[in-house]
Amino acid sequence: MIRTEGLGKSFGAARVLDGIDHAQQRGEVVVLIGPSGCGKSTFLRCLNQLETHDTGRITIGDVTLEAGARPDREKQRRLRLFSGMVFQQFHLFPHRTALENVMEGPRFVLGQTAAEAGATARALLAKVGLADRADHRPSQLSGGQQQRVAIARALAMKPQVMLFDEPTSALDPELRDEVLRVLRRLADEGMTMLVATHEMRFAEEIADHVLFMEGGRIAESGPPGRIFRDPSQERTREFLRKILPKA
Amino acid sequence: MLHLVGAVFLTTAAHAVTWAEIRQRGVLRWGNDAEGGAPYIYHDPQRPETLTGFEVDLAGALTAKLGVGSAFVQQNWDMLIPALGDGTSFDIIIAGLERSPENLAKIAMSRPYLAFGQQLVVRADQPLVTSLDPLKGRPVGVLSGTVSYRILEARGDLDVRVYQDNVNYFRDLETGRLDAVLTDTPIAQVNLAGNAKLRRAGPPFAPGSYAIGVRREDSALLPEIDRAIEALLADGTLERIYSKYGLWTAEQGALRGWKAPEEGPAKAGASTLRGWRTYLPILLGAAVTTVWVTCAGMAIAVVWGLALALLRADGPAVVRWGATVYVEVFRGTPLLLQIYFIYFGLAQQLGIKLGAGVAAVVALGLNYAANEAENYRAGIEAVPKGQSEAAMALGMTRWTALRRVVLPQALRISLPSVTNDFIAMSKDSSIVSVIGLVELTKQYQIRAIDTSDYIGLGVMTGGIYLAMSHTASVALRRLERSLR
Repeated sequence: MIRTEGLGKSFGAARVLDGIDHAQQRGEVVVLIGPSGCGKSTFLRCLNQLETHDTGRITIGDVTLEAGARPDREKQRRLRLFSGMVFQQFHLFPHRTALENVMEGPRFVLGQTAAEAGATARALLAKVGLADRADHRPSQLSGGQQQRVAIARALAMKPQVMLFDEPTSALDPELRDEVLRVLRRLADEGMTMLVATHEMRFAEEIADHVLFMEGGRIAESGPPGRIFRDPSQERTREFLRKILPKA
Repeated sequence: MLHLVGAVFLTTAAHAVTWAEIRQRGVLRWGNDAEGGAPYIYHDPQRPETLTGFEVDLAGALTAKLGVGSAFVQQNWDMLIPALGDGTSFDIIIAGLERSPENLAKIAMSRPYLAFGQQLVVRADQPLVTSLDPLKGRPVGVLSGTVSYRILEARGDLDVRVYQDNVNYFRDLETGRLDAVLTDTPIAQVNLAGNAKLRRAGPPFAPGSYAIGVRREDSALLPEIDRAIEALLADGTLERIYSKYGLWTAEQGALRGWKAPEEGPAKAGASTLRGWRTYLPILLGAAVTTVWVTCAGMAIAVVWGLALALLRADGPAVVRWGATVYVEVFRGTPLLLQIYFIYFGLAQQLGIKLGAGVAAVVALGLNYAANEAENYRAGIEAVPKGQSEAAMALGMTRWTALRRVVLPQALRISLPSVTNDFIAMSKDSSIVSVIGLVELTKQYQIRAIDTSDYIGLGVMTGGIYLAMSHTASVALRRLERSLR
């Protein structure tokens, strides 16, 4: 479903991604962990081309994008249509209601009618538990509610893959669970997901596979049971020691 | 406040330069407007740094006769009489001032130095127009603040276009923007000589004369000037000067044996505030021009400015560069220059003859579009980057993301600055009077010169501007709120 080979990206002199090889099956849930600045975010942003990679290739579904001097805008757009993106800071459209936010993509990208897009959007808002907030503006919603609307907005495009870029990092602890519940439910439904997060307990519970990134590389990968209990790399162990609460 | 202003005027008047002081100084300073044009006063085409014209020659002969030197002082023609009143810049006016009751109500005037009449001028190809009657509703050009202007204004059935100089209305008559020009015979004499495109329509009418303007308080100076003019007439100097410019016509017989008519006591400048029933409707009529020029100009600015901002945000490199150059050029050059360029320049060089109203709206619109483009750009840049990223992540094209997500937010951010520009334009629009549109400020100027009541009319005019800008800002604030 997702495959990257030798994926690389530099910002100026800094090599942010340094040869990422990754393959992920349909329905698989992969969790990205690693210290801040390790390249998790850039990896996700390359996957849906908010950043253009400068080496390697990305394949999602049947679209393959080679690194090149001039990005092919049409191909980038097709690649994006395979994936839905959820941002750390939600990025809801503040001038539109929750319902309109969810309808925006289907109407103006897929060309659905208002009635068609509205019905789907209401169903999705109900799914994330916000049926009664459809007519609220983002400014009238809590952070957790905004993030759930953002998830519904991404799902409205019927993506094959969902990319989550630290979806709960901007939320107060008491609001995180409502978002994580939605992610859990998506995973149970068999959605292919790639989640960057610092929620280790959640990662262990939900992941089929964990990638530990450091310095723009995948330093270690494996099933969550092994990564969290018996990591082979000293760096992984050190990272987990810092981040996991003392038991 | 009114008492204070009155006191200042009186003080100035008491210190007005007298004849004795002029003799002591050895120089008589005379005011005129070098833009007045041929044959009065103009730059010699052979030697552009020297002024020539029959009034320059007359000033020379007159001061020689008085035994003092001559010094020319430049002043806008419209403002000569008000400027004479404050007594600091010049002593007399030699500037084709008509010996009319309106002028005599404000200043003292010498005996006439030139007789003239009103001449209607039309294009040679026009059907046989011989008077103003067939020109009902048609555009007729005239010089601001003249007898000609009062004649046209009194008829009330013409589209009167007011000009600041004696040259451009002939140009506009030739190009077809005007159907006729009403002017003084000396001006017609010079401008029709060798011009096959224009012709006189009917004989001169409404005879009048030019005289030298003097402050009323300078009672010793006036008889000296009268005596000097009489002497120049008697010894043939005037005939010699006028013949040089083709002005020594049969009409000039009226100069000999001229007797000062019995003049009633000078009217004091009545307050126009008491006569507001007369003046307020006149000013409001001119405000209509201000309003439509502003609204139409802003409509162009808002739409064209948005197009420029979008081209700069999401256009090919060449287009982006072109839009940037446009913004820099229109922001970096004076609006006045742009108006002249669009109105006179395009007509002369490319044959694009825009009407005064259209040219005014286009010039204001093109100029303000540069400002609006900048306002929108600031708005677009103020929308967080995450917004367009979220839109792109949904699969929107850059254009759809701009249109659906970024622009609606950017326009809300820009709206207060656009509102400011709208109000600024309602005031800037007064500049279009240079191409003959009588808008609010121009009408104020015309009436203030007529009545010498700068304060009363100023209060009314200022009140109208305030009412307009207040209405606009309240309406736009309501719009801002409804968009939030």
